[in-house]
Amino acid sequence: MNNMKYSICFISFIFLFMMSMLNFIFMIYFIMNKLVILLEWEIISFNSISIVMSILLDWMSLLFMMFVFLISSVVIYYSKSYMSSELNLMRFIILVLLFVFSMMLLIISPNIISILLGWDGLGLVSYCLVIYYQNLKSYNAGMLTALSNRIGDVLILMVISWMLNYGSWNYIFYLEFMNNDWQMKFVSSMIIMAAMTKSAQIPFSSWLPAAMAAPTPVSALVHSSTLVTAGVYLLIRFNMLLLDTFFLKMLLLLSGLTMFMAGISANYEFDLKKIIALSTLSQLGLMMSILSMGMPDLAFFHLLTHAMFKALLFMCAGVIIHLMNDMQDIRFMGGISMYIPLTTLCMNISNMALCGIPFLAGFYSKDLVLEMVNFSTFNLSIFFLFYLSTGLTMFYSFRLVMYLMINDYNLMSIYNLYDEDYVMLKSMFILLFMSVISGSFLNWMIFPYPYMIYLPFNMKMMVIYVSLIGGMFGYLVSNMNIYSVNKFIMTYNLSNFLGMMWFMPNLSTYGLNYYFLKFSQNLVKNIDLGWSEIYSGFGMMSIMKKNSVLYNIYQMNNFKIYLFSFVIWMVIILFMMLFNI
Amino acid sequence: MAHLPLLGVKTHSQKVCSLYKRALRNLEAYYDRRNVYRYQAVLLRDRFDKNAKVTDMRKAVELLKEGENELFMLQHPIPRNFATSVGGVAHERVVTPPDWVIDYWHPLEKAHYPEYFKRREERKKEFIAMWEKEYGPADKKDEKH
Amino acid sequence: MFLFNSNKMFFLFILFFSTFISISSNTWFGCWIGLEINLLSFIPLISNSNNLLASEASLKYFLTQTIASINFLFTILMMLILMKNFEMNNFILIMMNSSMLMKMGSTPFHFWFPNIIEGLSWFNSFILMTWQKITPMIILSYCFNKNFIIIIIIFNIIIGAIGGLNQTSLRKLMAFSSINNLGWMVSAIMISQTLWMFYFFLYSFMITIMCFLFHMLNMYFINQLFINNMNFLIKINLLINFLSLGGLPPFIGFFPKWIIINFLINNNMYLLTLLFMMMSLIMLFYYIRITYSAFMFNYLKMKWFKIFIKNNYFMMINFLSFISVMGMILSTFFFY
Repeated sequence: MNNMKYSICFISFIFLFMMSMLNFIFMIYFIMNKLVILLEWEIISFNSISIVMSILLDWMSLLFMMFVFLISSVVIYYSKSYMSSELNLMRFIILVLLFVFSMMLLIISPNIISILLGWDGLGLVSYCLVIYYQNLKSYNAGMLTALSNRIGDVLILMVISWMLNYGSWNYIFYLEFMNNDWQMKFVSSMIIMAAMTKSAQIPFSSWLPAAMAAPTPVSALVHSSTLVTAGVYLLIRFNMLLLDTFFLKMLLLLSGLTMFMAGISANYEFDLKKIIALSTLSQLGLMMSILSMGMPDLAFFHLLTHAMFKALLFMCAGVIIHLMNDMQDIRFMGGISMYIPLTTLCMNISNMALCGIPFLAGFYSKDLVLEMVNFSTFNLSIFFLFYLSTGLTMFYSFRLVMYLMINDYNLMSIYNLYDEDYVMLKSMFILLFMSVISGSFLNWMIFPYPYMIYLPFNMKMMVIYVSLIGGMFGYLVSNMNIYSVNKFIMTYNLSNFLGMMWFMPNLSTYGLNYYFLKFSQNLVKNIDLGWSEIYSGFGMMSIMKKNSVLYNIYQMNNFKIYLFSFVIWMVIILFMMLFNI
Repeated sequence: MAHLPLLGVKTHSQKVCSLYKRALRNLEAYYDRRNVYRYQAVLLRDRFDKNAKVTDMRKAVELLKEGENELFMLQHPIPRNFATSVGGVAHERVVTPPDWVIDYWHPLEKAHYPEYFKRREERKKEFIAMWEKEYGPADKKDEKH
Repeated sequence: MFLFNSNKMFFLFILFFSTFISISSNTWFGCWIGLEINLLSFIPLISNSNNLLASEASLKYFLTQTIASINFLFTILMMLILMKNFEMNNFILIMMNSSMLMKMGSTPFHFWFPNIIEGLSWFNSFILMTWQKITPMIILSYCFNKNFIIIIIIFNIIIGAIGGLNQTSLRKLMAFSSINNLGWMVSAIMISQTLWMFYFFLYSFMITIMCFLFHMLNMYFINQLFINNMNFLIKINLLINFLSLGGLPPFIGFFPKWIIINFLINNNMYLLTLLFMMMSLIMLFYYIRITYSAFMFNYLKMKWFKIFIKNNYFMMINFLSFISVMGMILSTFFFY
């Protein structure tokens, strides 16, 4: 099936690619004529509320759709080779298509009910994709992913029930109008929490590295550019909610910490995919924080460029893993630039785009974001979170480059790496092209007028400073001399804390159920097997039995006594009557 | 199984060897460059060799305990596993069913591959013949599988 | 069975008609006459010259019923002498009620009841548990002291529930279940005669199934239920009928209990209702204990021991069990 020219991968690729181009053309048309189209189909209407299926087409949704279609088409084409020896390829492709479909539902709907459809679909399909390799690790990871996302689903459901107050679930009509309504506070807090679960912000971020148990094409599509950005996209749509200063501050702090935490953890990680996942997490934190500073279009801009180069990065990682016989540990890798130059080229370009090297995709968005941070009035801690994280991005990118490309090959003594899998390479080149140009073309297209930035020289150069320092650190840390003592051992406890994402995976798995299970064990021992047994089941039974035995003693009397007692009873009553007691 | 030692009972030297091996693996996780790892491994070997001649059992046990403790305190959070080995990412990703499963196929299913099964039956007979030639005929009481 | 014995047929006939005499007579004396004829016709039905236990039971039955009748006669005569203007004294009422309660085997005077039923065949115990209750119950309904009767009801249900808990004899168990149901019936008759008739009819219906089933299987003790190698369907029948007797909702046994509880609540007898429900739980517990062990035990299967039941009565039993299962559901269709 896979060798056929028109396999399901190829057909899906063509279809999705055509859809992407179509969306591109429409997007150009809409953005030139400043069009917004809102389609509404009323499904059912109760007394005063109507359930409608609405579709909102503006440049934002069309652009995002174009990007999602492009990435998914490329990823499906890529998995034609990556998953070629897979037995259930059909199921895989169908799952990916379902995922794209639910993403579309999420993107185009301004209605919270149809958003829930897409949102829930994303959670379910991503669960199915994470457990696609059916081993124990992926089961655990899938469960963690599904349950973390489930929190967001529940919150969206609660938002639906709160929005009943307003008579309709088309939230875009209420955001500005009802902004001062106190009930809107509940809605906004729930929406923000839901977006935080989907985008893996700090209390919920443990699922994102765990979800790397999915096949690599899935990681490229789902966990880099679409699923995790769904939360950011939702908040971009709901950005009116962030006018409330309390939520703004909370979200800013949490997302800034996420960015910082993920950046540090990526430096301690050795799993290739997890490093990329943590870098995704860091970029998500960047998007969320710039969003909570009140610049949704900048967040959207970074979301799109990031989607391109992060998908490319994952696909390169997939090629490497594919060549390494499923080995993901970067300690086994090294020197691969000698053997697979084309993949290394893609990898380096996407890494550089991630770091924000000028005139690649990441530069336009990231530089703009950081300068806007500098330009706006926030305190020193926020400033440091942003700039340290920028430096850390450079840090882990350089570490990755060192481990993968500079050092010696470390896996086996006999090896043969093969870089002529043109199905994978072609699909990567499409994204390579996009991750070079998408920054500039978006920058010219979606901003009607440029941001005006006016900074002193050192502030302006701050990004370059921290990047250079980060890159230097990345080189120094991963460069290992023969006499050097490992830095891990020197700061063992601190490394554990930072490398384990601030113990968040433990907290959100064992930490959540340990005390509850302990408590319920106590309950079982004391109440279920203890008091309640004595006072209901067992105790009642024994009392009843004792009484029954006692009664049988009466029953065992002589027959005369029964008759005599009856007669005595009658006599007593008679005397009572006669003497009128 | 009388010739095997009881489970969990190991001699002191076995325990030391096990500790040494685990310590080496731990070093491997830390020092990923081969030459650096060799250097560290030599240092580790040196530490073990220094105490190799300790004859006082109490002291030896104490040393072993200290070593175990040090290894536990310094164990790598992300041990370096091969992908398909236990603890690796691709462990049990592909499950190969054992060969005898084919024997339990339904006759209708077997009928799809007549040649293969014909040859399989022949091979089985050959194997049994080879077995009996080497080890003698099988005991009757072991036949019930 | 009686059907093949002309003497017993005769006494059975008299037994039925004596009840009609006493429940349709308009004097106390007429009632007494009916009761005496009833007693004297039931004794030949019980006694069996081959069975010592049956003869003993007939003697015991004679003694208890006679003493109750004597006291009844004494009470009505005294009423005639002392109460010139037909007024009813509470004590007279209590005396008269007591003798009737003795006759029907209600609680404070019930000790003869399990003793005697132990010596009866299943058919006789069926008569004792159903038909023999009619006369005293009707006479009780003519005049009673309500407070006294309520206390009696409470005693009845508690003793019926507690007493049956440790029994291994099926007849005794049914006797205690009958005592418990007597509580329900007396409370029904306290409210209205129609209600009582409704309850009594359905109760006798369920008792009929049980007694005939046990009679056919020759079951007298609990362990026979799970030692003997019975047909599975029979066990299902038993389970269903026991649950119905205990008053579990989908079965028909729930229906009369439901109605009685409804009426009790209407008459503000909440405590009584609570007690009824609590005690019927205990009743259900020991019914279920019997049938569960019949289902769950790994029973002995002897090689040359097999019950071949090819009895036409099983058709009847099955039909009645069907009514017992579906009765309440089917009865809802009558209202359309």
